[in-house]
Amino acid sequence: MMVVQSQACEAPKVAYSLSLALSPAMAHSIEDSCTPLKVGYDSCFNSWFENYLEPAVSASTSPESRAKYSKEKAEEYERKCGKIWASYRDCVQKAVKEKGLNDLLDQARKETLSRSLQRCHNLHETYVANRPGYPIRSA
Amino acid sequence: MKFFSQSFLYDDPWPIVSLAFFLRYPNPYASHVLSCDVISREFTPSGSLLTTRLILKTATLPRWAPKGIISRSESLILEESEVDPHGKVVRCLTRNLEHVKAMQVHETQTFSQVGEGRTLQTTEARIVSGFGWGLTRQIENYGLARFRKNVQRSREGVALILDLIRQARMQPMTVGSSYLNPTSASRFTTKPRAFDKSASQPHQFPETGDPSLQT
Repeated sequence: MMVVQSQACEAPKVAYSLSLALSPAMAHSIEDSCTPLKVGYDSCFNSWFENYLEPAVSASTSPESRAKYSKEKAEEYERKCGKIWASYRDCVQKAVKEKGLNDLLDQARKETLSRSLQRCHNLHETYVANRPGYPIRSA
Repeated sequence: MKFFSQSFLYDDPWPIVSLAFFLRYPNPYASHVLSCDVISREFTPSGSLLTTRLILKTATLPRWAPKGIISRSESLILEESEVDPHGKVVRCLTRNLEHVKAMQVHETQTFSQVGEGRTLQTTEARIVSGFGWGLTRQIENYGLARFRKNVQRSREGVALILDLIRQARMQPMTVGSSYLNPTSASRFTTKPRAFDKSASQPHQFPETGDPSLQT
């Protein structure tokens, strides 16, 4: 079972070189040597993510069913993509360090994610509350 | 400081629009994106997915810009997002990490489900220059004009990926789920349908000073 899953997460090499020919840089990692790992990880994540976005209606009805869904999805992600994520993350972290970008990132992330997202959330709520005719009408 | 605000309604359900938004790189409308890496990804206790991506873009300067205003022609961008599959909301914050004295752009995007089967995107941005030398206003105006143009391009990129996903789901046998593959060649051979301007006109709010946002 594990073998099948890890194959599904591997970079398809033919498509990979084809896309590099078509688009020299766009699918790249910041560090060229991490790109194959990035492509493999992205493929794995994308397949998982597509299902994660569409919980069955029954999974969203109560806090308990939500928690159950979240736990299952998190475990599935770890099982399917955890290994390639660890390799890819290590590769990028090493590159970021070597490029001297650690301080820049640390500083940026001092403004914590949750606080930023809260601000984002507030903006959205303000929008909904204050704009006449919002959400906008369709034609 | 300049403030930009726009909303847009997709005639597609939230899961597919959100998927397209996350899969949007690479696409031919984003040739300025040199690299895009996930640097952290975790789940919140409530089951939302938090992602931080580090994106490297080419930085272009207007002709009138003084020499040496930025030290290199690339710019690092940090993108922090939260996906809540139960509340059906994506929230995404983007900001540049470099050249922040010349110009800092804070962008906030949300994608939320509206009624049955539609998705509302809101985009807001604050553009601030601390450059001085009598150029602050000119730089901010330039940033705003570029931002407005890029919003359109970005939406075309998402629309292209949306089309790919739609086609693939209608004909699973022929196209398969190749859109999930970040290197799929179909990304570069598919043309997005033209926006039906009469049907889904971007709804533009006046972009002026929301006093609560002035810094």
